Amino acid sequence: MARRPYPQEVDRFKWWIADPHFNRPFYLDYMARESTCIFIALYAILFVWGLGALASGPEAYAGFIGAMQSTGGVILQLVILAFAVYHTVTWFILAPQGMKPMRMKDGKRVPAGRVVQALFAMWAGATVVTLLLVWVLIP
Amino acid sequence: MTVQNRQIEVLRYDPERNDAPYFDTFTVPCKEEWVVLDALTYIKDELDPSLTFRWSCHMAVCGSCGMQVDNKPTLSCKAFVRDYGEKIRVEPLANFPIERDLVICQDDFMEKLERGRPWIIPEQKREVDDGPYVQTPVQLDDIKAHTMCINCLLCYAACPVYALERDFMGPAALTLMYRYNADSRDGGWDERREVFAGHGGVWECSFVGACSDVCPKHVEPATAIQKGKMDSAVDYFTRFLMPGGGK
Amino acid sequence: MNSKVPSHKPLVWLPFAAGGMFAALLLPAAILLTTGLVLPAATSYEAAHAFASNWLGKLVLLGFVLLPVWHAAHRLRVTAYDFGIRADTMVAWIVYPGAALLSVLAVVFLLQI
Repeated sequence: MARRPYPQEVDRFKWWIADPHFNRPFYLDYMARESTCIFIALYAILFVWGLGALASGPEAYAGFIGAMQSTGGVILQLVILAFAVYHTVTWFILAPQGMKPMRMKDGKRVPAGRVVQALFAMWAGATVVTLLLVWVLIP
Repeated sequence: MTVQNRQIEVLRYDPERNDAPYFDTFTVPCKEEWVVLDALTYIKDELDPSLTFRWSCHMAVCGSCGMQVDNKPTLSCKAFVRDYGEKIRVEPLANFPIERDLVICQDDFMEKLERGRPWIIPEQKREVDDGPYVQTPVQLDDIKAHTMCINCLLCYAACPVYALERDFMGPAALTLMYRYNADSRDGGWDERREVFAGHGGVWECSFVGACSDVCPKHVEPATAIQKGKMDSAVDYFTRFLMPGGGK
Repeated sequence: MNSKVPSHKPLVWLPFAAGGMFAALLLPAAILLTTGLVLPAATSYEAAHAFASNWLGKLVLLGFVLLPVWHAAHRLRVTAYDFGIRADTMVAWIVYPGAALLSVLAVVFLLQI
C-alpha cells in the first residue's frame, strides 16, 4: 500500500486560541503568564523615567510623581500590579518544577507543595520587611 | 450493567482513496465500564472493519493507543466513555502526519529518540568482573519519574513548540536525555551536549508545561527539561571559564 | 540539523531566572509604594532623594531596574515568538539593547543624584 502521510499543520498565530485542549484553558493561561513581561517592562521604563526625574531636580520629580499618582497613573499601576502578582503566583507554582527535589535529612523528598508554600511565605515576608524598612527610613 | 448508545465521531483517512481526512460517525452501544478503545474495537468488529488504529496492552503500559479524544491527547485504553458526553470525537494524535485513520507517522520521533543516545554511557567501561554499579536509593529517586516513559507521544501532541517547530527534539526525547545525563552511573554528557544544548534542544522549550499535564505515567517531562536547562547553563559557564578544560 | 555550537541562551536565561524571582518577590511591594496608596511620604522628593543619595540606596534602586529589565527582555523575546512573530533575530536586537539602554540610563541617573 502506498504511503501518503497527511500533514497536520498548526497556525502560528491561532494555536493558543484554539479549542481548549485540556480541562481548563491551558494555553490561554500560559499566554497570560508570559504576557506579564509586557507590564513588568512598562514598569521598568516608568521607574527609569522616575530616576531621571529625581536626578533632574524637584520640579522634574514633581512632574513625574504627579503623573504616577494621578488617577490615570494609579489605575495604570494597578493594572501593572495585577500582572505583577499574576507573575508572582505563576512563578512560585512553577519554581519547584525547575529544581532538583530538595531532600530532608532522612533522604525523603520535600514535596513540591512545601516549596511553593515557602516561596509564598518569603513573598509575604519580603513585602512586610520592605514596607517596614521604607517606613523607618522616611525622614 | 447499563448499556448506553454513544456517537463516536472518528477521523478517517485512506491515503490510496482520499485527498484529505473526513469524519465518520458510528453509533456504539457502550457498556458502563468501557474505554474509548473498546468502542473503537466494537466499530472495527461490528460496523467497519477498515477502521485502523494502534493498540496493544489495553492497560496503559505499552504507549500504543495515543490519540486525541475530544481534542485532548489521551491513551484510548485509559479514557473511560462514562467521563465523556453522548458524542465523543476521536482523532489521530496532533502534530504528527496521519498515515491512515487514527495511525500517525512516528518516524520523526524515532529518529530523535535515537539521536539523544538514551542509554548509559559510562565514564569508564566496566566488565562483568568489575561488579555492578552502585547507586543509592536517593540517586535513583532523583530520576525515577523520568525513567517511566512509555513513548506514547501524548507530550508531543500537547507541545505547542513541537507543533510549530519540527526541529525541536520534543519532551520525551529530551527527558530521556536528561534521565541518562542525571543518572549517577552515566558519564555521557559530552556525547549528548550537541543535541541537548544545541539547536532543537532544551533551549527551544518555553515551559508551557502541557507535556507534564497530559503524561499518563507522570514522567514530568517539563521538569526534566527545566532541570536540563539549569545543568546546561552551568555547563556553559564552566566551559567558558575553563576553555579546553573541564567537562 | 543540530549545529555543533551549543546555544548561547544560558547568557540571557540566568538573568531571566534571577530577575523573575526578584520581580516575583519584590515588585508588588514596589508598585504599591509608587502608587502612593501605601506610605505616600516614601515617594516625596525629600525621601526619594535621601534614599538615592546613599550608596546602598543607589544599589537597591539599580537592582529594581536591572533584574526586572533583563528578565522582561528575554521573556518578551519568547512571548513575541509565542504570538507568532518569527523575526527572532530582529526581536532580540530590540529587547536586549533596549534592556542595556535602560540599564545604562539607570546607572547614569543614579550617579547624578
